[in-house]
Amino acid sequence: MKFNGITMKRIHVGSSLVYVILLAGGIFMLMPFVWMISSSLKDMESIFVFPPQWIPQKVIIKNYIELFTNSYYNFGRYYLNTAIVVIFRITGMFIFCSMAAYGFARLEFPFKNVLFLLVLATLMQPIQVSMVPLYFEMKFFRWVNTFMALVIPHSLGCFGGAFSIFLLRQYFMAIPKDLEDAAFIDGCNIPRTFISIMLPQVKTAYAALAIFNFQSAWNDFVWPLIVINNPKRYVVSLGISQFLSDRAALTNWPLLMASSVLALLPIIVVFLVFQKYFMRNLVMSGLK
Amino acid sequence: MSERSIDKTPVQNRSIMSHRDKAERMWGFIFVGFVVSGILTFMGFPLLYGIYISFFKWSIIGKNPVFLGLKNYASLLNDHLFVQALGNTVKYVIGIIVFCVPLSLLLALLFNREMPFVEGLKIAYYLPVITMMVAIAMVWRWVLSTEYGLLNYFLGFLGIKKVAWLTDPGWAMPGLIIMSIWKGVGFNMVLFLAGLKNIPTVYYEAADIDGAGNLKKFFKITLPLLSPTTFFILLTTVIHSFQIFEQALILFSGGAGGEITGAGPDNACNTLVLYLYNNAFKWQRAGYGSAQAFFLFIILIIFTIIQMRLQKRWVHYEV
Repeated sequence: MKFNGITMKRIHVGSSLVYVILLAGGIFMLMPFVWMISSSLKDMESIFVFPPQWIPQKVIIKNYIELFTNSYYNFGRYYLNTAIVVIFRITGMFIFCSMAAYGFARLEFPFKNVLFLLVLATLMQPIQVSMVPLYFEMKFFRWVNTFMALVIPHSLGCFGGAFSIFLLRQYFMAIPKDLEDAAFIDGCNIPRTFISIMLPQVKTAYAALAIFNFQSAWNDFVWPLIVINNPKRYVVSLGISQFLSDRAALTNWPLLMASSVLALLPIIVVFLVFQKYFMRNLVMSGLK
Repeated sequence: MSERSIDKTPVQNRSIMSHRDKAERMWGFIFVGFVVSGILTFMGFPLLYGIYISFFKWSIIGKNPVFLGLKNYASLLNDHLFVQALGNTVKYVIGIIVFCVPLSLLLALLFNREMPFVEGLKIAYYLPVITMMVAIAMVWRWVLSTEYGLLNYFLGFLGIKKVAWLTDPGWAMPGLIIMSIWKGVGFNMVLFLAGLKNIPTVYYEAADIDGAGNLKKFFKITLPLLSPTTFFILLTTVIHSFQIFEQALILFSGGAGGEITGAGPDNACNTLVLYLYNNAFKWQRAGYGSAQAFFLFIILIIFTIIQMRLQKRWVHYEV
């Protein structure tokens, strides 16, 4: 019994040491966020006070107001544009990726395996490699500066969208075949079986995928950078990068930090609410 | 309608396709058709077209391409900026592999136990992963700034003099790597944690009976059985890190540095993608940029093939 007591105590001490280390590390991880928020609430005089004030002496929201009202940084517009892109991408993903996933999971047709390999292979091809030809292609389609360019390729499973297809396919394959057979015997054709029998079965996958696609669409930068150069069509990430071409704004730290807060806030809120889906997505995407 | 399922079961005459099979064939093509045509249009064709462009002198405005043959590829080797960009990218990849991967494994090991509020703590590490790189890099311009930056402020407590992270050619790359570690460590940590959870506890119980110490358990049980995860993480990290672009672009644009947008002081953070972006979109050298893109693609393909090959041969999956 005594022996037991000692090990218990040792484990306890070890655990609390680990806990302290992890806690300190966690604080370090959060520090830039806290600093970003605190800086965004300061003005140009108080921002250069050293050592830094973590809690601003007087809280100023002028920076945020400026980002929404100044005609040069129109964050209302960026939010709206990003929301449009996010909503249409997720809708498109639901339609086209679930169709493809169902086809690959349940229908028999020639070249099925080859085509599925093609879909999977796209996961290894980063957009960075074909920036130039893609720009020419978008110009040819007259899609430069349009939402079409921002929405269509991703809806069709390109630029990482294959992950959605892969995941949905797994879900479809897990549904018992009897369900479908029963529908066919009752005279249900393939599209109807898909819409009214199969789709409702994979509802749980959609929550995770909606979040996954929200995250990638919201954070997307490289693709908008290539196809959008009209400020009217800027998404949030491009709106922020606009500061880079303006040296005066680049040293306006409070304004920069406020814009970063605006860019990060929606995704952080979604993350905190749907945290478990993020972790699950990550593990699934990692162990594919 | 029920006759469909009847004539499907015996299949006496295989040359005559049943009505149902025909329908399935047609709908199969329709269902996957949208995605497949999308992939061919936006991924397959651009890849081939990019190779084609790389044989030309071609501006991004797209006027009067001149055929050069392999000249673009030949000039890659004589271009000291390209060689430097390749070296910088390799430096970055090595930095991430050497520091980020072991750190995330360490964190995963520490997290892999019962503790109060452990899930809440994990969030702190994972938060940077889900956020927008562009905004994060903006924040880090401020964190890394020499005079008023947060990082120098904390290093000051350790008695370390102010480091010019964004303007000193020797410190620009370490600064970039530190930011990327902060951004990415939580990602690999969660993957490692999932891998650790898959190791059956019986091994540890057996080791306890044999009186093995923690270190021995780690090297004899944890590390070997974690090898599929470690392997996967190492290679995806390499592949991912070779594509580094927007971090440098945001961190160094408009600041110190020369004519290459985002390359940092003395082009110390000029990376492959950054250089190809500058060539194609800033300097009207789309053909030359495409040659660089194809070069990068070959590197990525090589690592992908290594990953697929070795995964089969070395890694032992126990599921």
